[in-house]
Amino acid sequence: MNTPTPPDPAQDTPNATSVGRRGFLKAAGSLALILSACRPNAARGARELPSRVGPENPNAVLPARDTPTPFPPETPPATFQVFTPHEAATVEAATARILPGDAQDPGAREAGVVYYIDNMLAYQEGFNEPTYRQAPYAQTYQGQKPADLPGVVWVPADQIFRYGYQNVLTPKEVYRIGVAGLDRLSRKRFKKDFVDLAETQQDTLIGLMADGKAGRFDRNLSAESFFHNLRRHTSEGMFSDPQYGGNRDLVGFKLVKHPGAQRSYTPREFQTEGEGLRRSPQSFRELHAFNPGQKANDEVVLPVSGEDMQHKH
Amino acid sequence: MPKVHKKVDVVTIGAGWTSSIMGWKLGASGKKVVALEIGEARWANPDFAHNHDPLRHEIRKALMYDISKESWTWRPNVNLPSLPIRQYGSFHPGRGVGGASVHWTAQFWRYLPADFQHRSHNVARYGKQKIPADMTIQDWPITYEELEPYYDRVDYDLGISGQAGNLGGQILPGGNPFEAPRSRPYPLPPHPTTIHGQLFADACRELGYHPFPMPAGILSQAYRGAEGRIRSGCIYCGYCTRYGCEVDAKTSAVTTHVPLALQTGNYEVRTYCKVRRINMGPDGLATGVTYVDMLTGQEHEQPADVVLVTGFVLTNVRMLLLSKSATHKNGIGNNRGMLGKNYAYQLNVSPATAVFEGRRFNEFAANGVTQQVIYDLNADNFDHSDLNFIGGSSIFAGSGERDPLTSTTGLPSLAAGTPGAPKDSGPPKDGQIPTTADVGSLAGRGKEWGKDWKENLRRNWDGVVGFGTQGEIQSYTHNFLDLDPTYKDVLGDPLLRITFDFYDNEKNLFRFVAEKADRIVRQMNPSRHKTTAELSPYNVHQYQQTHNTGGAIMGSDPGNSVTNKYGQVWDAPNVFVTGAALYPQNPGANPTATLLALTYLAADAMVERYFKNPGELLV
Repeated sequence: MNTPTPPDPAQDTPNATSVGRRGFLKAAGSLALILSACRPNAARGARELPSRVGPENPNAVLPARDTPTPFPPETPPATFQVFTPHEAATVEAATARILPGDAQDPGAREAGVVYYIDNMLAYQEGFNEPTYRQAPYAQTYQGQKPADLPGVVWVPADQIFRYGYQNVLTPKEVYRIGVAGLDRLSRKRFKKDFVDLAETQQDTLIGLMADGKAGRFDRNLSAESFFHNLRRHTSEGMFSDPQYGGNRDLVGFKLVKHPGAQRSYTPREFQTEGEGLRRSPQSFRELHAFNPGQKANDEVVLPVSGEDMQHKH
Repeated sequence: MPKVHKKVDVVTIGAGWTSSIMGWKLGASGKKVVALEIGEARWANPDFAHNHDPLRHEIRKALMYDISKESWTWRPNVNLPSLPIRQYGSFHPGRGVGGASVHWTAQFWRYLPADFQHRSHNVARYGKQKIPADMTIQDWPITYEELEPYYDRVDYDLGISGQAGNLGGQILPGGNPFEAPRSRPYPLPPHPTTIHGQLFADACRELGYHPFPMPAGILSQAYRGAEGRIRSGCIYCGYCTRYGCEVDAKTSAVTTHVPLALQTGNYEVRTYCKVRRINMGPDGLATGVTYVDMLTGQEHEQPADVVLVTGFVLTNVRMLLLSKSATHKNGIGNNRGMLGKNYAYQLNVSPATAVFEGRRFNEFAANGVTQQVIYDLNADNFDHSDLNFIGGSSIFAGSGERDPLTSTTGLPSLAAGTPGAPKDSGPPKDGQIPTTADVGSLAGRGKEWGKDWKENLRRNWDGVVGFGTQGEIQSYTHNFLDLDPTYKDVLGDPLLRITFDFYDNEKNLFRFVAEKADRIVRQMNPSRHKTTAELSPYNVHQYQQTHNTGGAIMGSDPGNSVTNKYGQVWDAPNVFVTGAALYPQNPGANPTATLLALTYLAADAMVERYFKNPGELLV
């Protein structure tokens, strides 16, 4: 089943990559410098690391980059990539009820949570982490197990939660269906779209969803489940680094008094109650690089995909 | 056509911790070792130099095995269907050189002498009837005394931090009075304890328990390890578990044994290589492995005299199962049907959470080992005569490295613990098939929202103390590993299927521990608290720990095990398995220190004896 083989005689040069002794010695040399190197230099952000990619190869089974986890964009996009204007307004309004705020005491709206969510949904259908998506998917039943159906795994309704994420919907579809469902719920009860309701009316609907009293939006999505998507992603947009689109001006960190990305603490500091109140919260980008200007870095040979590639900074 | 490489002495499947120990010891004795690693190469500098990005590490699982390409399936028992683990939950295997040792928490425990004689010890003290018929626990083929010199060498090669409690039989104040005798103290002093860890320790002491600082594979001071470099002590940055350490204070294969292996000049790592099977010759011995370069799709063959199965527990068992041949029709090590048996896990369900209104404990700082622990209720350290279970659990509290991303969704609600309070919702139990946000390995699923949630976050985010446990899990006929009939990896090979659930011994043990934890949490006098009295059935959506064990267990003879005490497979003597797949059941402590010591033991036996009589079983 494997791909065309070049007519290459067997030879001992491995096509895949080797960490050789030379590479280690260079790396070890740079490691030894950790204790002494303190020269100032431009911060070397993590986003520079993906330059370390292998050649694009149509036969590759893995994507040609060093990890399956994307690095955030340099600047979070200021426009929506997935949401329509109405969807964005609805998600913004709903998350603003889940974590309310105003200019003096910012909440989800002020933090830009909706931008975090849109940004997340724009990547791999919204999957935040490596996700196994091979069929067949599960369907649930109550009582007697239904007859076998091709492409369906029947699981008792009271057991399915133990298996973790098994929903056939992608996060992007969850939001599409969820926003439409929320509007249907809203029109049924208040004759208006969700965004046009007064905050107290919006709270009524959020409360119904949270308490599992708003039924289903789709055969695959309960209103309660959509509430938990909104709530989970509100937390992520509030408390992840601003480079992901939310937590603007670090309002999330300020709310809980989290100092954010700090380089270190001494035992005396963390053993003194309230250290978090004394530190100014800091974003990932404001954190100084650990080994600034470390010359040896340039010589570390990090092997990728069949050829040694030098780091150049 | 596979590309065939020149034969080497040894090939290892994976380039994690045990591979690098073997690479060092065998490489130093002149053997050529090739390690085939599915992930990338990385070093503290520059790869971990700038990584304080919790979304990327905690939520997006940047350092973990890419389960979009190969996952595992799970079912509670044979009467329910298996489904793939589609997103991370229960456990977090790693990817890349150094494996999961790069992102671990680094609790560093030796097992107790009785752990190694688990069945005979319990039978001798409580009688045969104490062990139910379906409980397949057995003695290890090795004793603590035999392993102690290796534990000791590992401690000093790496630089382990802790407070000795039993030095050559003498009980020392401040350490673990229940620990096995050690021949030397820890090379480094213990880590300082957090504020909330101290609250826990004080409460324990008031109740007559014996708290002590958690032993750790994180340097509490600068240390020169076996690799010859001086590594920095911990800087308590708060980005530890699920991150690589930027100062190499957190010990891993990458800090110590990979450098040692490379220094021999005989250890070669090939990255992005996925091994598909071990090849067997007509004489029943392995001839090497077949692997795919995942960046080109090219299939390769690496012939070798010895094959070391050195991946994660689940990878190792799967590799042996996948390697079917004329001489090994059901896989390697399975001629007597023992492969996949005695799969176990650990009991790591938080029994208690306390909220101290308005307090600020700085839980965002420090690391996962700045805690205090009690061992009074672990193993057989207390009398089980009138109890309906065997074994025990440690209890601890005081971890730092707390991030809002993984602690705000599950923050106990303002009303939690008060009478009539609405229940925090766990995962959906109405038959809703969970979406990615209904479950999740780290984030909880509370339902507090609006002004209450905001006020709660503002006042109490840094005043919550969670208890942890490491409880024993016994082995059963019901819990085992085999190949899934339906789901495949990216190359079309079957996924490993895990059949696992908790049984009465685990439920009874947890109820006992939760009662004691409830007493301790009350003694701490928090504003409010909640305890979990009963153990819920096992699930794969919640992170518990990555201490999976068994499946290719070691034993005294081929009738009760897959390998001997050196990890040498009974029915294929030039195949050796390393790691926690060898454990016959799971004691109440993290598995890493023991698997490192066992690898040292096996490496010495290979150098000193195996290569003098290759293909012969070591005795």
